[in-house]
Amino acid sequence: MKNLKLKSARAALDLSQQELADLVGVSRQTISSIEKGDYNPTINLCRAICKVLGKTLDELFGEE
Amino acid sequence: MKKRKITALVLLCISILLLIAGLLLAFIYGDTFKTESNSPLLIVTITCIILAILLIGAVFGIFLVSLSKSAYPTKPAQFDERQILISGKGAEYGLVTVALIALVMLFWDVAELPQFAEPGALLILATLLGFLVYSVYRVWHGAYFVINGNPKYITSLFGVYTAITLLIGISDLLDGKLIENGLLTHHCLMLSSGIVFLFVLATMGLKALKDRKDEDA
Repeated sequence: MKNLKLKSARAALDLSQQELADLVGVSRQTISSIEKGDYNPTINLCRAICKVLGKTLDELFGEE
Repeated sequence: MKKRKITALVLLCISILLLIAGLLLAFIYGDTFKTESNSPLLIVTITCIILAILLIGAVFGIFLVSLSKSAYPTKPAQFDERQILISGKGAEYGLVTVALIALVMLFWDVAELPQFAEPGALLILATLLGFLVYSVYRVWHGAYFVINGNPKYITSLFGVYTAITLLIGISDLLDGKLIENGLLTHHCLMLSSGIVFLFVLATMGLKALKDRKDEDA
């Protein structure tokens, strides 16, 4: 299932996938895979993404 | 980086000068060399040409070192969690490929079917096919290039290595070393490696094109 919440939070901060990937310390393809719903990140990566985007875990990765 | 460039340039200039000097001497005193094999000038000419070849080799070495330094900067190689997961899966698929080939080879042997390659050559081909599956899977899933590396330089380095391997492989093919007594010999190593690397390189190119389309889609 696509993670549209992550995509919109990233877009709200005007960040590209590569910029977010650099800030989090992962590859661009990893961010793309998470947004497409192809990869389920570990809790550590979820927390790192939330910290960069200024959101809570529930806001980005909580059930719809 | 600047120092390396200057050293390479100086070495290249010296090697070109030595090569020109050697060739000029050979051109001018060519007839003398045919009659006097112990002539000091002949020794000077040969020394000039050998030194020029060695220096060109050194320049090529510096070029390869600078490529690898640019590809992997000061930090050690880093992969993220998804890339490590993909690498594990790729290794699994590679191993399954090698196991399947071994099974086919066993069946081939038991059924006493006509042999087409030496056991060494079969081992090389099986390993290379396993490597091909592993590498292509990693490249296609974006888990081949390290996060802190430069994909362009890594690809260039891989391209140079592929070209060298293919050249040696083609030279082996032209020398007729690849097939002896109707069997593929272990000399197929370079050519088959080159072909496998070419496939990996092509996958890198296709993946780069796909990534360009997918970016921020």
